[in-house]
Amino acid sequence: VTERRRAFPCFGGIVSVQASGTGRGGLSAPASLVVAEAMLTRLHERLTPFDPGSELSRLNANADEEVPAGAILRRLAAAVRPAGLLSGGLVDATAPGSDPGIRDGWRHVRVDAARGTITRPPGLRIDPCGLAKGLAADLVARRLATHPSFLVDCLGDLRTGGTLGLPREVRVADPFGSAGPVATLTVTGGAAATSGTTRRAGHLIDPRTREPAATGVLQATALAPTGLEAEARAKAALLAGPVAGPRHLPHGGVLVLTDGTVLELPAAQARAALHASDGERRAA
Amino acid sequence: METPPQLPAQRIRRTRRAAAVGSAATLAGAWVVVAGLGRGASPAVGSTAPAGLTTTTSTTAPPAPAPAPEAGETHDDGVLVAPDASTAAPPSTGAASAQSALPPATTRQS
Repeated sequence: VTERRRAFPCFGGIVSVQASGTGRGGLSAPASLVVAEAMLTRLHERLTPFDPGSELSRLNANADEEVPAGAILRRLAAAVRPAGLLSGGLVDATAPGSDPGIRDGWRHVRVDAARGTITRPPGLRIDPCGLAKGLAADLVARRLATHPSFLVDCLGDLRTGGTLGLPREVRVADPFGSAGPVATLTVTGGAAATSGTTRRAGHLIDPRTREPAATGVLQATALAPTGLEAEARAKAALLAGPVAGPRHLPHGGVLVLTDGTVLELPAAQARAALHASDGERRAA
Repeated sequence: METPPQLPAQRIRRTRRAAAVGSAATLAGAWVVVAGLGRGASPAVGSTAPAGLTTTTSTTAPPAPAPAPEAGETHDDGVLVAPDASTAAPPSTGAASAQSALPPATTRQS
């Protein structure tokens, strides 16, 4: 299978998209990739917190409790609460802004699709961290899903799949920067995301301490059905530490600990089967 | 310091400790606006494909057709927004030795 590829600046780095064959509406791979680039560029324009003119920045600067918002921003806001729930509060895609008294801000973000609005306490900012990249990968993957194969790479947040269901190697980059991967997974569809503390020291804040995360896990990679979920699970696994971290990777993943240990975790289903076979061996 | 869990399904090995933590450069702030849907298309730039992949990089930009919304999708500034992705199937994982006909991908911190 030969995939066409486009790479372009987006989300503060180089994003790439790949696809083979033809997809929805008979679009060739190159044409679909142009659409994908346009989508990603629009998503970034709307969701970047680094541009005061972006829709996200305007929401965060708005003093009203309920603010009209477009579908893209509403979709991001709608992901804040599930990410908090999924991670037991470890992933909080909000920042208290001018009101430091607000805790667990993720509980207070609501979306009203009928009214086309986002509601949150005034002063509470949405700080999407990696969720915006995960959402972008999901939305573009939906666009490319009818191609025989596709890949969306939003700076390491991956969505892969396609109608042929072909396996693809997903390599987990070394957190210490060496050329070779620390692990290689094979997936036929879904998402992978990696969170860590070695590339940008101090950027990942532990909501329990409000200090940079130092849990004994340097890097966590999560597999999940969607990019949003993979992002949330990777962060949760890193913040949970070496003991509880694996519980946040039900679809599989990889943890790299501070002492250099690499833990490759299969999906929970596979773990359960292995546990069962262990029990059978003990019983025998 | 917590100790690593001892789950039977884990494959544990050591990796070399190398560069100083946090020494990598950040790309933050390097984004630029490129023309999008309905406004023409930008050329592809910055190909980062490693040697040996079967990918080819588009260097010309065919016209970008307007995507049509499907059931449940909302059209927002040229982007189709699905209402909820929670119905997506779980990722299918296979053995690392499974034969892959597709170029590999790398997940990394960003």
